[in-house]
Amino acid sequence: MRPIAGIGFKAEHFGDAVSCVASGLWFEAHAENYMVEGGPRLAMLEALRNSHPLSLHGVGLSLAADADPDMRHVARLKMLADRFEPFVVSEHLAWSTWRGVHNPGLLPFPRTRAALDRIVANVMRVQDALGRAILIENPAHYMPLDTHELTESEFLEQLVRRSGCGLLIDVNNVFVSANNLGFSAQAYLEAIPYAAIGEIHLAGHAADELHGENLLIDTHDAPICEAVWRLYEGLIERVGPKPTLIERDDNIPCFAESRRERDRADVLLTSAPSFECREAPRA
Amino acid sequence: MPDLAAFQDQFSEALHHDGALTGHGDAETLRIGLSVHRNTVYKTLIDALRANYLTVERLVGDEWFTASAYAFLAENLPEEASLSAFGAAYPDFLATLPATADFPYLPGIARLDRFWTEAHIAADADVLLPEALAGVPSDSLFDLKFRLHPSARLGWFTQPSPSIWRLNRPPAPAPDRLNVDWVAAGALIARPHGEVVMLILDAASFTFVEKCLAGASLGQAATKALEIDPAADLKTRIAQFITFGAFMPIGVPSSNQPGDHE
Repeated sequence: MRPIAGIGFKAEHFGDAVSCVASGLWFEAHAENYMVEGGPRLAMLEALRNSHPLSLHGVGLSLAADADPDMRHVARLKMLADRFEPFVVSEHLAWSTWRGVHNPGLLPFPRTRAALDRIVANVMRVQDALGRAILIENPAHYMPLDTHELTESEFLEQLVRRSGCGLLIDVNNVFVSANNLGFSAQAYLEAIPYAAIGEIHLAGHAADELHGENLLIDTHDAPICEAVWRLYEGLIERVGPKPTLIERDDNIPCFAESRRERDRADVLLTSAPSFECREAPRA
Repeated sequence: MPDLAAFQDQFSEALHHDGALTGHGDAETLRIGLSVHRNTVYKTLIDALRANYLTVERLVGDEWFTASAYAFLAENLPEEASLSAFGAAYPDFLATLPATADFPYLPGIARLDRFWTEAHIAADADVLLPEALAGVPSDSLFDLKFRLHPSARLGWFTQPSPSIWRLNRPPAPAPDRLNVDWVAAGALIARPHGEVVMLILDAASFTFVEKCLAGASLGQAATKALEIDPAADLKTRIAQFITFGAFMPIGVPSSNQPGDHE
């Protein structure tokens, strides 16, 4: 089955997820949660993979650290990718591990040319080890840095061109970042290299408790807001239908509620003008 | 030109030690942004620790648990990007807290939570089925060596932590959380058939399993157990361990975990 609109997999949804027969439904799993020797988690993922297409989304490779990737971590990712044969493997334009400490977050950095060289090399090492291209996701931003040399669009464009990676565009991250840093989300989405987009993420956010709407946090704990839906609609009109994921990592609703959001994306994707002609050839 | 490594050194220091970023823009906006990242990093770490110590959290409450987690993190940030097994040192850390002195069973509860996590993510393996012993001639039974399932974890507790843990481990309803016989006990936790389960052991049973774990034959382990309790009905107990799923099939090599004492 061709992946169209998917849902971030949560163990509490397992029964509903495995038995759901919606056309084009796929699931995304956070790779680090499955880097274990055995047990029910892997058994669950195997059952899910047997029923639906799967993507593996990493949060721990720390590709933007000024250091070589942890090849033990890459090897664990490769074991998962070889076993579950995901249609996509993705990671983030961010760092988290530094000098032996893992900081579980997606941390920012000055987008310099030197940083680009380092990240291109890191992405290529990971891709060589995995034997496949990966997608890189744009992160949510909370701090403006004066020391950037490249815009994020320029940085992503060069990363794609030099490393051969693809892009995972998180529309909510664009919306949150545009709000927090004061740029146009629309202009950002018009500047990214469309051809490289292999997946789109949609998620909810929340206003910061202290700073209110001036500081939006990429919490993944709420429904997708209407402004993000509108940006998404505009994006797929321009780039065509791309596998799209509904992410929810906190305040997890019942499967039916996640399903409603995913069905909304599915309708937009399957009614996109270019949907039919992009249908993959059938075996 | 800003150096990426220098930025990451500065950011890491500021993240964990309530510091500030300098040289990259307006101090106030950098401070606000940094606090968002700090909140996210610490929330994720505390949630990961909580997920691995559910029974401790239930017994001490969210506020106490969170305070202990912050104190733990000050010395125990993770090295691994996968947090599934995060917090191995938390039970020993709890034992050093002065506040734990009033709750002497609490470090044992943490050890049992840790056993649960390790059992849950341990390698898969077949278990020894009761019928597998039917074909073994009775005169060679005593020479058999039972190997523990890779998910099996064994511990001895000077406090009744295993009984308290059983009453309080979520999703147990916890009707009366400390209403247990106040005696020392052993515990065997394993995941023989997909679910993590526990057997509470007396001293003779604990000794039997401990000797098996150390590589003793069934006969040697039984002899040691009978030294502890000459009246122990070992035949019934061995059958109970096999039904529980504690052992691997005869003849399958294993990588046993060492036993562990309070």
